[in-house]
Amino acid sequence: MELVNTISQGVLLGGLFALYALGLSLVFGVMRIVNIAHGDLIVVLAYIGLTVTEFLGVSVIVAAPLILVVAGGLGWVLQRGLFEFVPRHDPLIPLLVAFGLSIILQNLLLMGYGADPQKLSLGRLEQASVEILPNLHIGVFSLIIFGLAVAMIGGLQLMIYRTGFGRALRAVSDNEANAAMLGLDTRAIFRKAFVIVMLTVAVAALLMAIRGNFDPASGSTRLLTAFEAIVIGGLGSMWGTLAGGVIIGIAQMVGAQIDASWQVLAGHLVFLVLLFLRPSGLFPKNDG
Amino acid sequence: MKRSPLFLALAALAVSVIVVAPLPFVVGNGTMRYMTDLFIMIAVAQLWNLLAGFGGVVSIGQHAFIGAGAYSFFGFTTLLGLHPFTAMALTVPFGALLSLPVFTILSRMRVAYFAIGSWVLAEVFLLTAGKLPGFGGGSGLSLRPQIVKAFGARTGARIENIYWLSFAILVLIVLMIILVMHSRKGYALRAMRDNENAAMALGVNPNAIKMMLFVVSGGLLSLLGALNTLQKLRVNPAGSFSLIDWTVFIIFIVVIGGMGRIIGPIIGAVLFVLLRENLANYGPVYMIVLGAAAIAMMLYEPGGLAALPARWRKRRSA
Repeated sequence: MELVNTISQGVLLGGLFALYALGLSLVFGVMRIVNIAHGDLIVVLAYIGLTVTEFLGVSVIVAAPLILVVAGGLGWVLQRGLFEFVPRHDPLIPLLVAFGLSIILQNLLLMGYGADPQKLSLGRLEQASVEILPNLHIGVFSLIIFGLAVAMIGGLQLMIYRTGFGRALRAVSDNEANAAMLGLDTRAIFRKAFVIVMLTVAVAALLMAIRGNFDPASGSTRLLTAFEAIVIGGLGSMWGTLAGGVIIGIAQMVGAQIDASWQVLAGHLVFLVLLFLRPSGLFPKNDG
Repeated sequence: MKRSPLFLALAALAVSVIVVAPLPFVVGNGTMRYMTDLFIMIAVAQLWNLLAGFGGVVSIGQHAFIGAGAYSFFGFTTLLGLHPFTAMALTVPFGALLSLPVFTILSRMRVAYFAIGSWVLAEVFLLTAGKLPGFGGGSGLSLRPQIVKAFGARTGARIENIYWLSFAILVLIVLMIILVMHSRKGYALRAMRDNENAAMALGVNPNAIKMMLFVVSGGLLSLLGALNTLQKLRVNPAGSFSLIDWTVFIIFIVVIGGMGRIIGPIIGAVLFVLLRENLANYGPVYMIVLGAAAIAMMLYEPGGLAALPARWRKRRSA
């Protein structure tokens, strides 16, 4: 029963990891940028959530729409003000620009908020749990996180494969020059894509901030788990990313059972083993 | 008469040896320690540049090998009782051997994700180092005094010896890079950096070359990690495997100084040290300035400060 409990916790934690990963995966898929600053963007949004809820004195749920608007605006500004000017013919340049951005964001947060860990509160819902099997209690909030992860992946899949914008996105991702030649406004598509990326980042950030502590240096571990979930699942497969997140989540929870210091290391080790065994991931996409 | 670039590079190196090697007769201990840090930093930056600037392999995990060097030096001396000189020499094959499986795993990933993958491996190294028995866990251990004294019984003599040792290693690394870049292999490397597919068509095997670069830099970074331990006098996971010191600062140094040029890391490191003197008290502001400078450099001139004179000359003649 102990093991079932641990695994179910790991599965639910995997939903949060998949949420971290969605934006990273989209930025790479559409813009071919390895966004090293992705984890830091998640942490920035967590702090924005903190500031907005404290300033308005309302619960996260009430403030969420406003936070999403801010996140979307920030995405537009980042693309319009920075990434639009980054030449992408050499993958080195966007990678290093994102690296610089990552350090800037971490230190801006450090200046603005200090190094103390912070947390968002959701009141009694955080502790509530349901008994789904005899002796197996599952946290309601964990279920909400997992449900939101599934819903967002489903929504993004619908957007990418069923809407006109999704078609444009896929065209730009396949071949930017051809898409432009066919009359697509690639700059506008990239800006919208970054807005969507930041919306996923905001959702992930708020859930992360409610679930546990965060500080200005928390970004790197989020980046690494997001990355591991993507690679395990197979690049470009969003359900694969969820599966990858679940695998890392289970590995971390089982590791934490041995000893708290094994939690993160166990996740990394399982990732390395899987990378060695299945380099193109569990659900590889042929068109890559 | 026009000299070859190889001749000019070697001449510049010879001149800097003649100028820098006798400095301990002139400057004090503080300055020497300071310059030793600078030499190690330039050497690490040269090796990062060898990978990224010449080989197109971006790693965010090179601090893994600095730490591995520190820990292996500590293990060889303190736990196995080897002579400190033997131990230091052994860190090179140790780091090189360690980098083989690391590269094998990382090269299974598509190029763009190599960077984050290397970071994951560095995290694994750091977390594992904290669990190794005999190394003091998360808080680490100090080097025993007799190990340090092998490099000079008196403090003054030791600081001088470590100064010369670090400078000699830096000179050898720069010499190696100069010679490699002007050899057949070096031209293959440039071809690969510019266009991997075209280079492959001409019979260059990119993966074999990248692996060679990675293994060589892994071995030498371990040696530099051991040297740095002599400066710090202790090993501990957070310090020995410092992401900030050995990857973040190093990347900024190379990117601002000039990627793909031997002079780039030298310009970058000197500038970095001067800036640190004046801005270190501002903490986060210093990091923000570095990050912004790196971004500005990437957008304006990816060749860094080292490429600016040529750029401006071209503009004037145009």
